[in-house]
Amino acid sequence: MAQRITIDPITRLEGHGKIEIFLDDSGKVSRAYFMVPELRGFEQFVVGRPAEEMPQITSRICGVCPTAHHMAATKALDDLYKVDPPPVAKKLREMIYSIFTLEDHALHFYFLGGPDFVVGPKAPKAERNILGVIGKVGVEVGKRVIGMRKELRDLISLLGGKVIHPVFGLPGGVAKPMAPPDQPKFVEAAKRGVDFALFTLGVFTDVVLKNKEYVDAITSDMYTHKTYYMGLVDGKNRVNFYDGRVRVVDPLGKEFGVFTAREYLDSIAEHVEPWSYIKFPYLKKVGWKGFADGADSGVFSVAPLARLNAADGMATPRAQEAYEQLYATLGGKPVHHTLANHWARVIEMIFAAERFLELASDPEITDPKVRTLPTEIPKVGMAVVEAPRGTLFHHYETDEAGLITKANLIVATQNNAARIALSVDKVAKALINSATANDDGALNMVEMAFRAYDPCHGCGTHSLPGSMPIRIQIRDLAGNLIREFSR
Amino acid sequence: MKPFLVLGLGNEMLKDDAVGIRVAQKLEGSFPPEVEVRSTSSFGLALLDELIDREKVLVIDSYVPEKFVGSEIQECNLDEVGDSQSTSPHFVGLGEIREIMRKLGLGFPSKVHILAIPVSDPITFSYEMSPAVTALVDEAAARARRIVEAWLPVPTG
Repeated sequence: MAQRITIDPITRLEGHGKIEIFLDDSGKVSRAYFMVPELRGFEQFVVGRPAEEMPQITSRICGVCPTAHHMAATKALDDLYKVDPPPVAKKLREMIYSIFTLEDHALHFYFLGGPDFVVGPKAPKAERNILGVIGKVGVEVGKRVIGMRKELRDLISLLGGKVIHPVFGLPGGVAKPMAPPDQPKFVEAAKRGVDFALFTLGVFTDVVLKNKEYVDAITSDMYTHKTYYMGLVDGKNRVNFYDGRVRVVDPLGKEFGVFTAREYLDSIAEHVEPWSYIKFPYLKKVGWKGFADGADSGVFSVAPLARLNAADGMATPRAQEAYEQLYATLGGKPVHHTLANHWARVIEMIFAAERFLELASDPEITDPKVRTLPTEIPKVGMAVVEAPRGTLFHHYETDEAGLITKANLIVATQNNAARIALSVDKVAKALINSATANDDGALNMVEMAFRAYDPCHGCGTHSLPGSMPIRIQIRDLAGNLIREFSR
Repeated sequence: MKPFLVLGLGNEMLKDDAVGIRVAQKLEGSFPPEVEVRSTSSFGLALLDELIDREKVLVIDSYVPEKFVGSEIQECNLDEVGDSQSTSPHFVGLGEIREIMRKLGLGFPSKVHILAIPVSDPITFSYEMSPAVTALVDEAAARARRIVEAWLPVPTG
């Protein structure tokens, strides 16, 4: 009998999402849908509000990555008011952003992705969680992760106000300088951050790379798509989270295009599907050719692996070493294996920590001149940053009084949505059939396909989640419930 | 670190979801120095930071009843709730945080009391709460005061 399997909401994923897997009469997957069922109209909500509120408002969209929205909004205000912040303000912003990325990536590696690899993709579901990870890596490592995370968040609070609601970025600069007596705290924490990131690479090497089963899973065809890749790069085409130009490479790794935040609408268009509220961005110059990979399809990817693929290297030494090791191990650039995102994320942890240390140690970091006052009449502002989950665009238009008349946000999970849909469909077709429909391990491996991207649906749909109940329903195509169980 | 914490949870941008924060704001300045009143939009594992080194904590949050009309403010101790098993660090419940903190030797509070206020719309972007939820703020604040005052030593002399 034809069946429909629903994973709703998806486990270990930020915000509500759902996967529906349709089985045909022969028991094979005919199509798996990656769905986002909610929409809240955030852009309409902000119309009429002062543009200066956007760094605070957008940071409240989702509690998962407030700093990314805060920074994108702050940069969009720079552009809106045509004001160039003083050098130290840019350094302070990038330092805060590096701290945030390090902390966020660590949380994902150990506690979101960790259950898949550290505990194991087919481990009992009761163990595939934080407590299971702590059980595997040991209490001391668990304490180190929690302690590092707290130290990093405390530093963000020290300089930027609340972690969850930063009050740091202003058009033309930042709210306050770093007090000279505080600089050693940042430097020492950054050194611990570098040690912690390198330690994490060691954990990844020991737990994942030395396990043939995991390496085989990473390189398997079902977790592989040859798409375009997008990421922010500096003037030397190296990965940058805070600023630069957006670079796109094709499935062979060749540069396809480079654009600034102001040019994003020339490069990206959005496709709408009736079964999802999320819009699917694609490369305008290639066009929407459906959910397909290859050079003829405009589907592209963002997030850690895409950033590494889109860049020519890393801007710090230890991260560069790890970057070279990844490509040497996985057969050169670009790497198309979705699960390699976990490895790329660890490499970005090293880069974030090293960049944090560079900036914290900068003799000018305590310069008190942290703001250039805006004097221009606002009209249009656009900005881009690399959120931990991928490229994030903010675009505001205002009247002459600076009140928002239009806002458009393209968030990381949107940018990845088409490729995530591809991933879910491909893995489901490889693993699921009527005999495995009740196999928790197989269903978890379907979820692993999108978890690697670290998606956040609260952000992608601009809605906010309240809770995270997990339910799987199996129905026939007429909608009759055949089986239901909790995850 | 003050031993007693009153913690309002919610999001001020999401209509009724602001109620925990509104009640906490109402309580600011109501207690002696050993009681700290805080508000946060954090959730999941981030709440661990709020609980470290506290003795007793009152969490004020919203809940969505099946039917809003006729639903009442609820109170319970965390011990009555039991352990939930979430698979996301961003959505872990207080029960799991307790387990994590105990496993890592981080000292979970001896008492965590929960005050849950019924709401009808916690998902629409708005700074204004529903009138019916706004009307519950005073009652919730009064109950919070009674709970916390019972924790405090009786003044002598």
